[in-house]
Amino acid sequence: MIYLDHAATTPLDPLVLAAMLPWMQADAGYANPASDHPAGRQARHAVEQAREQVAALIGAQPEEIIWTSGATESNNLAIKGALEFRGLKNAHIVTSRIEHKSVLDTCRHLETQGVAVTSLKPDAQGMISVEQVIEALRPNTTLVSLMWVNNETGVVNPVEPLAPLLRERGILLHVDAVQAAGKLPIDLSTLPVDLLSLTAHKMHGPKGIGALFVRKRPRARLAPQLHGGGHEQGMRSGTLPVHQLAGFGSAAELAVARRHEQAAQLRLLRDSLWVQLQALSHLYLNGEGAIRAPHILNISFEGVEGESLRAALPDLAVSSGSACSSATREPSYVLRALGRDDELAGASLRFSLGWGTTQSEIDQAAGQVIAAVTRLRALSPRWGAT
Amino acid sequence: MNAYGYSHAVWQRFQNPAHAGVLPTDASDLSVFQARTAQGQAQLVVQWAGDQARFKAYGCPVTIALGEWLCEQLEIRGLSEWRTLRAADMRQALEMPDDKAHIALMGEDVVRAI
Repeated sequence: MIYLDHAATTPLDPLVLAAMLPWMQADAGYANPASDHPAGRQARHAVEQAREQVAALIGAQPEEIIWTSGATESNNLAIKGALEFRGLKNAHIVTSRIEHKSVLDTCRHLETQGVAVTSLKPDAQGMISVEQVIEALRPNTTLVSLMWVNNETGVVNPVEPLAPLLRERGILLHVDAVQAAGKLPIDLSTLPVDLLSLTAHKMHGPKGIGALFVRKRPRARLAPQLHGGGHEQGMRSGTLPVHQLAGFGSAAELAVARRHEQAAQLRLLRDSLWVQLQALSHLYLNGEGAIRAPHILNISFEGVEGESLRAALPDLAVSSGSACSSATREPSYVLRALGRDDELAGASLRFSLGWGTTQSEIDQAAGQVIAAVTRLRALSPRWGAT
Repeated sequence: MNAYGYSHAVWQRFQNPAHAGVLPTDASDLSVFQARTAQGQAQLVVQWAGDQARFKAYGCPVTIALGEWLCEQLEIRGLSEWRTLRAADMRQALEMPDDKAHIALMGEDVVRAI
């Protein structure tokens, strides 16, 4: 099987696994890092080392990193925490229609609590512009939540020019940076983002561990969503999983060390895949013309049905559009927001590359996709008629 | 076993549809039967001439497998008996789950098409 679904999750790097193992073994690793005895202190040291490593990935201070269970929790804590701290009454949030569900559904929940939400529509390239965000602001806007890199198209939103404009206006900016971390340069020592979500498993770390950057100066204040022992500066209670944190720290350190090489390599491979696939006619590159992260390529294939396209590629692990079902499964809301119709959105494949993806895999993947699309088009009574 | 959970009957026919294609349009006894689902997400065309059947299909793997199965049945049963096939027969033969019932109904529309 050729694995090109790294935007969904990545394999655990062997070096990350090696960093985790000692903290799952009986002789050293099981102590609670909150305990004040030598084993606890040792565990706490590992936790703080991981905090430094993750902070270094984004140009933050270690004390600005709050551990969570993953990006879904980070997004919930950032949005609900910020709104609840500042007060829900008469509050307004600006976000976009192409955010991850953990942002969209959190905003919908807040709407039921009386918060006004503006969901911006992307342009035909799949991007949210600075002007759109600024025009959507109201005197009562509390928070803007915008993803840095869209997880389906790889399109990069203009976080860097937007952040200072929101800072000038005293509006908090939350950024879901799950697909950007390790792929794009992020330096929060100069970029005035207030809250930023991360997760380990998109960068060859373990699942079930994430982080929320919470700026100290000026301080972004949050109401906790998990109450308990007051861990993580009172913002997120719960005993810390030392083995996962050691893995997250190791993955972050590797991402920093590999970023330049990885980004260049991924871009070459992604572009090679696109060039090869253009042997087929009637393709649509989702996000064409926009600045895109180097690891994601999303293409709609005219003349084929999405579920058959997926089934015709059993040896290729990619994300696909839709299923032909009488039930309620719908095509990608992101591609529909870009203006693709249901049929084309359903007949889309997202190829997402990672550290370790090879040119040979890209060549094989291109060959398999070309063969599958050609076969399905030849079978279709519609294709001959177009 | 396929990774997607399709029945063996569907998966085999989706992977190797022996009757995919078209018959010569100048055949004097060429009959064409076609239908699409109510929402238009799938379409099936079956051709019959002499003792040969061919199909074209746009849709999910179950749609393609159904096209293949209908051609097999047409060649085995002949036209008169074939036209008595109903959606329930198709669902049973291809072990279609409930959420593919609309594909079987399209198949019945093909069989009944004039």
